[in-house]
Amino acid sequence: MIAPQIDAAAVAEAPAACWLPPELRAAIDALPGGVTPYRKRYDHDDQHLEVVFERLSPDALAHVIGFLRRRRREVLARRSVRDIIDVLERAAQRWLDPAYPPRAAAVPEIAFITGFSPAMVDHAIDEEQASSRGPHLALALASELGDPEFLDGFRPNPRTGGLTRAHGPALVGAIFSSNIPALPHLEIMRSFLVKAACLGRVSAGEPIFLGRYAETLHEIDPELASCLAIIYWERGDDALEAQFLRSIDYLVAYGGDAQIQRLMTIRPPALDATWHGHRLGFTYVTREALAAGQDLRRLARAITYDFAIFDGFACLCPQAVLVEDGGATRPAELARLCAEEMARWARELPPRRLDLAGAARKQAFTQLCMMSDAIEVVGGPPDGSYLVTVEAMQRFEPSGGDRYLRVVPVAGPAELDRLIAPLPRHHLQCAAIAAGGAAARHHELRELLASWGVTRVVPPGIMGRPSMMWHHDGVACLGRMVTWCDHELIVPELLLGRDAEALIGEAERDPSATLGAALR
Amino acid sequence: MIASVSEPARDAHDALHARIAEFIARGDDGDDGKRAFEALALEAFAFQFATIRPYQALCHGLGRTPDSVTSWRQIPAVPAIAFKQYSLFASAPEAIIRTFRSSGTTEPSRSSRAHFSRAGLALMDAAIAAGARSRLFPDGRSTRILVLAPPPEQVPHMIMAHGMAHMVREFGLPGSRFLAGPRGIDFAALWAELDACQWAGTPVSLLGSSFGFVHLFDWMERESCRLELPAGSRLLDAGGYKGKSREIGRDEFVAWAARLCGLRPARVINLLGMTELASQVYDRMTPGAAGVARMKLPPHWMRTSVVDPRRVGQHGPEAVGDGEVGLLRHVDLANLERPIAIQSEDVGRSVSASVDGELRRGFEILGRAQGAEPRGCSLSADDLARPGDVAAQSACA
Repeated sequence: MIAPQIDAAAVAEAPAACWLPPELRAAIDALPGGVTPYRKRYDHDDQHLEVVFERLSPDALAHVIGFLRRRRREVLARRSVRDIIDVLERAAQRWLDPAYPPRAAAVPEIAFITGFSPAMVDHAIDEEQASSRGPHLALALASELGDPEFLDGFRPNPRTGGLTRAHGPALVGAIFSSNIPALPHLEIMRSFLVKAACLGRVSAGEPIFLGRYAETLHEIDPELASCLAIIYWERGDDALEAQFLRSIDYLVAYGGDAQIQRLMTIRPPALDATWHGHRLGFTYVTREALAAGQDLRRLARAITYDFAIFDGFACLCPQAVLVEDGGATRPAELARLCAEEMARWARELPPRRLDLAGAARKQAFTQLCMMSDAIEVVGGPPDGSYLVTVEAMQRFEPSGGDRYLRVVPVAGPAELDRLIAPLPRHHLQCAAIAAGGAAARHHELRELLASWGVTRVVPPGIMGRPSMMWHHDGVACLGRMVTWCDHELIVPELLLGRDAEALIGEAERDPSATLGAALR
Repeated sequence: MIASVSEPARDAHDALHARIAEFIARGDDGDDGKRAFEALALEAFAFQFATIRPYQALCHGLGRTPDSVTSWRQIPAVPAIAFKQYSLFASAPEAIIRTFRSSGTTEPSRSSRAHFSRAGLALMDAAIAAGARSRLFPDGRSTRILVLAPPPEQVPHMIMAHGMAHMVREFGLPGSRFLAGPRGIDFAALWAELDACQWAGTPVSLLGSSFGFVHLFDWMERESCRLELPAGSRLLDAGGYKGKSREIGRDEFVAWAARLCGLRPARVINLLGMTELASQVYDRMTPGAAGVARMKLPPHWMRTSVVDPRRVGQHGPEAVGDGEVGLLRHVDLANLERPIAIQSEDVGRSVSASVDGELRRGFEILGRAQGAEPRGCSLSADDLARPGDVAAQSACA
């Protein structure tokens, strides 16, 4: 290990991509040929970092799955939601502390492997853990389930006229991607929140965070952490992948379109899943936001943050800024402010490290833009840390990331109809709207966007930090995983115009009496 | 704001053209030559700034114009891929008599286009001849030139075929010819020629693309053909492999040529040529630790520096140190009609060696910069351009 800022002696042990609870680890190690460790090497210039991966035998994987199912019954099923949230809250608090040793160790490693700057990785951890706090988890459950305690046992439900209970799947399988550093704990949290054990397949593109987060859970609550396993199989290891898909009760998959399509084809037909594939976002600025008296510097600062975060390589990142012409400020003027703010972000959150080929490609791209009559390069520094242009758009084209901010002057929402409406619904995700104080414009735009499949509308500046409560990619991710059971105590017609809660209380005390009354 | 192309600038072209042709013909003349190169490069830059509109826009974008540029090193280089997108030509479009296209291996539909006027073609031919005279035929020996490529009539857009045809005209003994057609190399005819030359003692110059030679060597291995080419024979292979044959390391290539054709390593010479450049760079043999070492040494009317786009100074990417890896950036005076400064995607490093008793700086090529693919869960343009894409959907709407 020779990555910068890392004391070689401190990391003599290569970090491990996979994580198993100690009891399970011991059992797997005892299986002949159960686990084969090997190292992957990550190179950059003359430095490298090695990470230990491991291949599980089919027996070992079966063992892992059996273990997780058992621990789910023994631990998760007996814990209260409040208790689980408390553990996750404590994990978030630890990770929010920059001095927390696992975090301090993970940041340079993640930066080295992903190429993101250490400052960006640090920032990403802050943002993601900030939205992983206990109260947010409780709100997310409340938003999607009504009452989180439905997961703890049957609870009176005035809307159904009886008692309601929700069960998560026993075992959630999660396949992670690597483009957003330190994010995958989201699916561990979601699994645990619905009391599902979680079996995750780590991405080789960011193999550092998950294992360390699992270790944190283990420190805080080894029992709960024993419901979690992080494994790996190489792309193309179809047998192990098929075994994984056969053995889980619910699948959450992140990845590119090709990966998602493939998984859709090979998964068992009955396996329910949530897919997080390629997504597109954009920013829309109305002329009201550009009216005299508006704080344009602040607007530019917010818009550019969305392009800088994750260097534009997240589904959450916008691909272009559509700016209405005809306001007090011209789109090109806003672009100039954006270029200044991009320069600031380049200093505060430095862009990712590029290899020679990547830097060459980026430099050539900037220069091709400069050569074009149709493109005005407003900001394109020689170091390639960002690119801001003003250009028309015939059809919506993704920018390709790397802090390429295109300001596209538009006449009005009719051009949204031309550019955005034709995009495949399943690709649309976030839209940032800046419309000043014009409530009617906000209303008009969000109605349009939602009808086309946009799943998240925000003001500029927070595209990259979704709340835990967001219906992620348009899906109630927690709600979708649970199965409901309703004990109907009161026939529906009896509910109307009555005090449902009192009736349910009565029915709970003497179910036969209440039901009999209903039948009379 | 792009200034309009001025007529006086176009008139200056002819004079400058003549002076560059004279400089190429005159040969390398030490410090005077270096000063002359600098002066001609800056003049050519000013001319191209005034006459090639996209180039002028690039110079403005980079903030490096004839008013501020004081050395050939500071001249803004055009990315080679710009030739795919823009017409980069200093003269009027009516003056174009030839357009060469790159093979465009990854995107055949979008290949580089290099336009030539009659004068431009003549300047390139002069550079080709001067280069071959000093680097391929320094012994002044005439050889029968056999070309493993189709003749220019069959591939009028291939700059390599044009260059080799010019070498056949300038240096070839009677009987020199092209031995490939639409279906590839005519191995039987080639073998007959080589065999005849071998027995007649006629020295041969074998010219072709690197991957063409790999196919030839494969064929010779298969057919158990071996040659002992007569003294004075040589081999010139151009370019890399571009995915058209398996990749062969240089040492293996040279050893293969020795084993199959009886050519000494010093007689096996690689050539760097690009559609975007009028000049070529030959291997230059230098005494090395293991007998003969080779480096690419640009001709005196050309400079190649090795730059790292990640290290940018006030005047653009800075040259890396000796032995460090970077991208090759060429300044070629024979490119007077097209930007003289070209940023290639070739990865290389600069090397220094003693040539004729003088320490000279050349370079070696290590490969191509494999573009870092965009990553992440946001879409790339390619993803959206697949069948069933946006355009198709909007057509249904």
